[in-house]
Amino acid sequence: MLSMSSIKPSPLPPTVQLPEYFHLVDVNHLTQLIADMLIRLTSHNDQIPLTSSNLTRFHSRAPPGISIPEYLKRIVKYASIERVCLLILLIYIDRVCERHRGFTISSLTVHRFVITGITCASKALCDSYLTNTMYAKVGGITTKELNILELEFLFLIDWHLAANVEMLQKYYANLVRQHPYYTRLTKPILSPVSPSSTDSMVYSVVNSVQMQRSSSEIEWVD
Amino acid sequence: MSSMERYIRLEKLGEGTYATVYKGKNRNDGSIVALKEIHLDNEEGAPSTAIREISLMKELRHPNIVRLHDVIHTEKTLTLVFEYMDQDLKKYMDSLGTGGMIQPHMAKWFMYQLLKGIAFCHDNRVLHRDLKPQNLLINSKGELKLGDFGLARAFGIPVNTFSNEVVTLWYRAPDVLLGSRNYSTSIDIWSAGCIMAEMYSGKPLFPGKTNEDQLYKIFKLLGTPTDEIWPRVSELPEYKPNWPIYQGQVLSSKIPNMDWMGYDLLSKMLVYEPTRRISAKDALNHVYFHDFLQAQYGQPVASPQFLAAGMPTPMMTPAMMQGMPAMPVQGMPPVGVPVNLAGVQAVGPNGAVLTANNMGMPGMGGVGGVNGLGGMGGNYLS
Repeated sequence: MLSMSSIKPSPLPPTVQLPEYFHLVDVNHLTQLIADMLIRLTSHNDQIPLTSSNLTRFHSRAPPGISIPEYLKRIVKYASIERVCLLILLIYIDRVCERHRGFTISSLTVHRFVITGITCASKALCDSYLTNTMYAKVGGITTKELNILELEFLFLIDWHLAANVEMLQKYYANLVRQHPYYTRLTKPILSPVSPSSTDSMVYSVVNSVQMQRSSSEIEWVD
Repeated sequence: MSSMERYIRLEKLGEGTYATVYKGKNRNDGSIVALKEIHLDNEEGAPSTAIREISLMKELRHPNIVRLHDVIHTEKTLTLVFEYMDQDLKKYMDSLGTGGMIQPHMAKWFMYQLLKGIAFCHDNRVLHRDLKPQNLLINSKGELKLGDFGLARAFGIPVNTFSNEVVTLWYRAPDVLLGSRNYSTSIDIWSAGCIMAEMYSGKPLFPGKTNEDQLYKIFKLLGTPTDEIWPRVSELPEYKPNWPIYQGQVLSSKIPNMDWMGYDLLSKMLVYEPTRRISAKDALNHVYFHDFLQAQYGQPVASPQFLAAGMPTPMMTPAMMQGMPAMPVQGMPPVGVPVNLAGVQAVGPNGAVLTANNMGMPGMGGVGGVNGLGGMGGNYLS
């Protein structure tokens, strides 16, 4: 079996070794990895000027007071979220941004996107999940708003909520590869990976957002 | 023209736990569809059954799976637009006037289509998890299609929560009855075996009243399982060392009219040990179907390409149709494919239009100090 280091992430931690496969990773490390990815994504996209045509139901008036890592940790803690439902958020971001070039994950949208995506993933993929009322409480929005966001999200992503293990594993491998403080135990002989192909996969979350600058058409906002 | 205006709602076809089904007509081309209207709950939002049904059906396009054409969102409902099917297998059996028995060649034809649909689901890593005659839809062409994917789920993704509250009791596999949670494709095969027997005999094979009664009915026919015939059965959560001992009976004692190849296939579908239960793909290659295809086409076993092509309509000879009444309405609708951005815009006035004056979200008070969520606090996202 893989031995997990119990070192908690801190500003300058030594490298933490993670298991090769995502379903074995400690959920706290996975939360940290995804939070750090979302921070990079939002700080990049926050440079894109906000116009009325960019606005969606996912936008806040101002960046919420709770940081992305704290928000994710809170959701994982109180709604006992499964690893798959966290990791799949990155796939959902790529899918939505690919379908809607004007949509960006920024400091204004990331919180609502996260709670909505996790709600939909849990209901689609897991046999035990909470009511929307509970997810809304954990996410700090009203049930009424979450219900609206849920349907908005489902149509934005065209109900494409499933993902296979191979895709999830690729996202996990790339997530770890990109992070300065984490490494993944691998068996190089058994699974040779071409750096170029995995890199393009890793950066797709960022790239799809970059392209949005040129798009001014948003179909889902009047 | 978009959304619900495209369809005229005709008579009600049925009412389920979370949806009402209507017959509908497309104004554009006059085609008949089934409209499954799902009520949106204030607490639950979109029902997870609907989310699963839609997200899985969108990916499953096959002649033996009911086609989902569209998903339409209106104020209080979500409407799934399905391919129209005349009725379900249960109602068809009841309507024959034969005590539910289906002619053997017709049963074989339905069985073939059922396994085709299951094989396609399993190839695409989807478990149906609720196969029963009520969820198999048929039309006047003799086509059979899998419907109602509300309990279905993708498999192969590692999640901790796998419910054993799946499949209607009578069609539930013994490993699930005994509390197993790491079941897979074999649970659909068990259900298919039960359905096969029911088509030949006209009666449910194992009509249990409780979980225990269900197990005993299975044991009476197949024998009480032991570690010898089902390795490690005694490790399952609901195993009882004091089960009554049944020796089992031959299948023909309960199921008449089946040829020996049918009994052989059925016995391979009703195997206790899940990993040794025949797969849908192997079942389709079973000799039971060889005889059938040979008789229908006057040639040796059809090539794989031919089989893959879907429904060989010529098989439906007038003689085969004799037992089949012109289908009255009724039947559960299937599942499908939503693509409708117009529906997104229709979500309602709240937040639909964001201007410089109302860019912010409404206040989110009242969250802090919720029971059971101590210290969560609220109002994070204003």
